Amino acid sequence: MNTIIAEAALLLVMALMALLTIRTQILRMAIVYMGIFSLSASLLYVFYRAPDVAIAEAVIGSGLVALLYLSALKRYRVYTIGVVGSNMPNISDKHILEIERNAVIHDIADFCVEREREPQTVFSQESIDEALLNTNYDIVIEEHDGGIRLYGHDENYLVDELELLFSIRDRDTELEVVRFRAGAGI
Amino acid sequence: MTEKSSIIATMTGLLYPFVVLFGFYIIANGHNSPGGGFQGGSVIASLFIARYLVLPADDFDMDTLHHVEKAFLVLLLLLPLVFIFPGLHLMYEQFNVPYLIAMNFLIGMKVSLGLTIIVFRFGFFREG
Amino acid sequence: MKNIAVALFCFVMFAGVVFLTVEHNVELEPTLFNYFIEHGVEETGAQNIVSGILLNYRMYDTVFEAMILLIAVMGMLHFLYTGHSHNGRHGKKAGGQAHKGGQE
Repeated sequence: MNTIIAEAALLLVMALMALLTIRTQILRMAIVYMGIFSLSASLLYVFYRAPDVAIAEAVIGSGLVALLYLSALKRYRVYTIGVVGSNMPNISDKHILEIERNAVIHDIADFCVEREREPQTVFSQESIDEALLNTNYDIVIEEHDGGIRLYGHDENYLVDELELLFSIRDRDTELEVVRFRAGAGI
Repeated sequence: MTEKSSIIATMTGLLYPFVVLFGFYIIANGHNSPGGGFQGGSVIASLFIARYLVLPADDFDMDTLHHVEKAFLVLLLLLPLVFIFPGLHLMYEQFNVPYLIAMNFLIGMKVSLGLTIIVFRFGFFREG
Repeated sequence: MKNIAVALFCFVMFAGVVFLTVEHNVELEPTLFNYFIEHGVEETGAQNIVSGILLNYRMYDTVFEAMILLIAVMGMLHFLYTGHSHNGRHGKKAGGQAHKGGQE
């Protein structure tokens, strides 16, 4: 009787994980859900008295396949958003949460997901000149009192579309887009 | 994922010997406990791939690995050819267990090399 | 409306297949099953009968499975040509450099 309940619970977990895998927006979470799916499948095989298959499923399903997908994700195009604040003397978790709730960053992240790029937000204490010289950032956001300044590379065509997007919508915070050329700074 | 993660690097370094030991245990005990060549081989291959995630260095010579894998396949074909097909396993029953262990070992090595080559080639592939 | 119809159709087909599989229980004739259980240990010397079957009774299966893996590896090596690693030392050097660039 107990094994039947355990099997049913495992099957439910598998169905839930399969749903989460296709519904989630973040690809890395999808890989993790797939690993959990495989692990519950291998536990189910143990209940069905097939330990050989269970070992193979555990190693391949949640080990090899997850690692393969992770290394594939590594070369998936990541869009790095650098956030530089002028009033950011010491960054705390609360502060980061506050910024993350900021609508502009949220919109940019949604836009990146729509364009099949994985958004990655980096909060840094660098000054704006250092951040612009840092070539890791695709786009740099600077917060100053009352407004937000968005720095993008000249050849970065996503910046144009972002500017268009923000000019269509009207919003409370002021937003201006600044372009720079490679290596020139501002 | 774009940069090296020290958590993953440290944990992989800690687990490295245990995973090797576990893989060889599964291969060597395949004849009287669950497991076998394929399962143990994939455990060892997963180790190499975890190493790729931590340190993506191209210091393996793929061609050598491929030749070794082919050699293992030839051995894998030869062993049953001389032992099973002439019916020796019915005459000399004391060689049955060593035969199983040897076959599991060969299969494990071949599977681990094959999966490692596939994933490494996939990982180092660059367009153009 | 059309989407709902398609979803309903998929669900009904799925439920039907599951129902048929659960209802349709066939007892296979247990001749080989009994033979393996009775003679397996003494004929193959394996306590784990799965291993004994794979490596002794069903030898061809295992050998050709290993061959399939070899063919997969050959296809991988052929189609995903990385441009180095095929000509020994020089290529190896180039690969290492490319990777250093990627890491930093």
